[in-house]
This record gives sequence, C-alpha cells and structure tokens, in this order.
Amino acid sequence: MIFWMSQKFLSPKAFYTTTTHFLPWIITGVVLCLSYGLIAGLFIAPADYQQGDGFRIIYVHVPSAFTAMAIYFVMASSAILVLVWRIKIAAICMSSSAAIGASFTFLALITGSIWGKPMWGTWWVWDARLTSVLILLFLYLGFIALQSVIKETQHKDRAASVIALAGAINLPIIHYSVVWWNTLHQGATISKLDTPSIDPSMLYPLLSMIVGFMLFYLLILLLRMRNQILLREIKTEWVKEVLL
Amino acid sequence: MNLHEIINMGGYGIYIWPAYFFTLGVFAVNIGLVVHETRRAKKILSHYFKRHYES
Repeated sequence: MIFWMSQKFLSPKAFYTTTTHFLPWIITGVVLCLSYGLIAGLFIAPADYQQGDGFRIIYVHVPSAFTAMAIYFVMASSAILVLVWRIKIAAICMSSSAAIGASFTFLALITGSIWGKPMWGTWWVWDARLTSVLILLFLYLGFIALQSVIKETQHKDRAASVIALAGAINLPIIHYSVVWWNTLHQGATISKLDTPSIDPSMLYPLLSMIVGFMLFYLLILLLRMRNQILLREIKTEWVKEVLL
Repeated sequence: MNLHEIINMGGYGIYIWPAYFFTLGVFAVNIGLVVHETRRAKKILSHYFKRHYES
C-alpha cells in the first residue's frame, strides 16, 4: 500500500502538480491567522496579572518553539520513509525542512531569552528546557552541515536520515524537561486543551499564531521542495512538459 | 490606546518589540531564501533547456 501511495501521490510529478493548487489557500491562511493573532495578541488580550504586558512575547515565543519541534518531528518521520521505503519526496521534505527548523529554533531561543530578562532577571540559564532546545538547534545545524559535505544524493539522503532519526530522542526530552527536572521555565500552558491554564481571550490568539506559524512553515517547505524537485528531476520528461 | 502606550507596552516595550522584530526578520530570511532558491533553480533550468532542446 505504501508503494502504491508513493506511486500515486508521493511521486515528484504528482506532488509538484498537486501542490500548485494548494499554495494560494496556504498563503491566505497564513495572512488571516497571523493578522488575527497579532492584533488580538498585542492589542486586545488583557495584560497578565503577574507579568503585565510582558507576557505578550508568548505570541511569538510559543509558536516558534512549537514549530521548531514540529519541523523536527516531520524530519524524523520523513527519515523513516527514506530509510525503509526510499521515498524521494520524503528525502526532499527532510532536506528542505532543516533550514526552516533551524531558523525557528533560533527564534525560540532569542525570544525566550528576551522574555527571560524581565521575568527571571537573566538572559540565559543552563536550565533543562533551554539547554535541550539549544541542542535541537545544534542538531539542525549538524544536519545542514552533513548535507552540504556529501555530494552524492542517495548517500546524502541516507546519512541525513540517520542523523534526523537519532536526534528525535531530543523531542520528548524537550517536552518533558519541565516535568522531569526543576527548571526556571514554566510548565505546559496549552498542551492540555481540556483544562488550559490560560484564559480564552489569551488562548485564541495564541492558537491562531501557532496555526499561522505552521502554515508559514508549510508554505516555505512546499516552495523549497518544488524547487528541489525540479532540479533533481531536471532530466525527466515531465519537468520538460511542465516548464516548456 | 495611544501611540505612546503601544510603544511603551506597560514598560515592557523594550523587550516586546525586539522579540517581534526578530520574528519579522526570521520570516523575511525564510522568504528571501525561497526567492533566492527559485531564481537559482530557474536559471539552472533555463540554461539546461537551452542547451538540450533549443538546438
């Protein structure tokens, strides 16, 4: 079934032609979600009773951290598809995601650091959550470095898959770091949606920003993948048909 | 809410606005990366097709 699916939907040609129709919808989603999230988060949501307006950094910090972890999860899942079924699209997805993931991890660290200064009195502590996210950034950078030094495509894909899969162990460590260790970082705010520890007037803009960030990732990912597909498939007949 | 209140953000403006500008920067870098890659891909593809199909 996986083989049939890979032929029908995951072939580079099918992927390229199908995604063409999705792009305008994704762009619309990004604009709507980010517009609502920014306006409601910055100007409508009430100030926090403890942190005052300082809490508004949550609307960029949490979405960037969530997206950074989600991207690594996508990469690790793609790595399984590459190693077990050698699906080309999964390899392209993995390599196209890395730089985006690194940028969002960097953003999560920077915005967290900026938020930490007024709330904790310091830019950085070697806290379990912060350190494990820093390790995630190094994993992304290691992945990008490995991809840039291996020239042969199949070797590159397999080596990168091993790195992506091995690094996936860091994801539960990041998520549970605030439970397993005593940390300065606060615990989960929205992971328990049935009983969130945040008021709906603050929660909805946050959810909207998270969706907006994820859609932005999807948009950039698809655009990067489409470029890579054309270059990898340059000698095939369908690329000629599509472009000429 | 006037402009001063927006900039000041209850005394946290000095932290909030840089965080949002960094976010804007990361979005801009990602968009720039895609634009650069698309231009590069177009250049390589047009060069390839010129060499192989226009002769």
